Amino acid sequence: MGWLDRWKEQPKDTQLDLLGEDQALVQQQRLTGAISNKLLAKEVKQRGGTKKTHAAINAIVTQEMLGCDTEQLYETTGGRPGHRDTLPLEAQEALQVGDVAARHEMVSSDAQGDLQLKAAARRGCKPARKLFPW
Amino acid sequence: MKMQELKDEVRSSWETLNLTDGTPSAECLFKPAIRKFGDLRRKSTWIKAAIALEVGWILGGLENRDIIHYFCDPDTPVGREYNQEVLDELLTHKDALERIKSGLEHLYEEPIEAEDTVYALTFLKRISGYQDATEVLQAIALPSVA
Repeated sequence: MGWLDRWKEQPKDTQLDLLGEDQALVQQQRLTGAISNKLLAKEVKQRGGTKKTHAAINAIVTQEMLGCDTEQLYETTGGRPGHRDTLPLEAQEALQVGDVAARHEMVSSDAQGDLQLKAAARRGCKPARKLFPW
Repeated sequence: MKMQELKDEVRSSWETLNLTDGTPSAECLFKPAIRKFGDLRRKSTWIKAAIALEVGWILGGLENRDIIHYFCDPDTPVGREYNQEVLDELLTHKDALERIKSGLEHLYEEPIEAEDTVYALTFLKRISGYQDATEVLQAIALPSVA
């Protein structure tokens, strides 16, 4: 089944609403790194994780996708901590891919709770990292 | 919070902080790390550690916009019970205000969800009473507050 079949099967009012519950400010918006990370955070919450789980997963995604820890990443690149927009584009791209891969692995393995969510994020990122040359 | 829950929170916060800065989470390093906060037999030591380590993973693992979300919609036991103490501790870190400012700007100028703007304004009001915060926060001047 392609994505269009999946889209046609969804109720019309949720077709454009990844964020759910009428939360999205605008129905048609371009997917940014911030939105991908928000979707990851929402999935974590829905599956019984907390903001601490989300923080751990951000660190796991950074390690798995870029091979360094978060602190090192900002220090070395001169980015402003906590502000991904200030990282080199290549790093932002890999982190966004990692966020998406982590979220889809949580869904497909039906991960629940802190430990399972962190393990799913790591599993999801491993094949995603192979897309990149480093 | 009961003592056991507090200890569990301290441990998982320590592990999360270690993930963000690359420190190994070896069992033999845990108690020495907590002993820096005082006598391990006293609950006050564990509370102090819980608050400091909570701040550690917030700054190490969350994006700036999510720092504001943490304080407006806390979902960890420490964040719920010691929300004000966590904020006070956070503000002792040198770049905390800059990060809060960046988070507020993001939430207000590039909101993803409707609650983002509400959280930005609520948090700005909460923090504007802090002496050191005034100068940094004046630079933001969110239209609805001005």
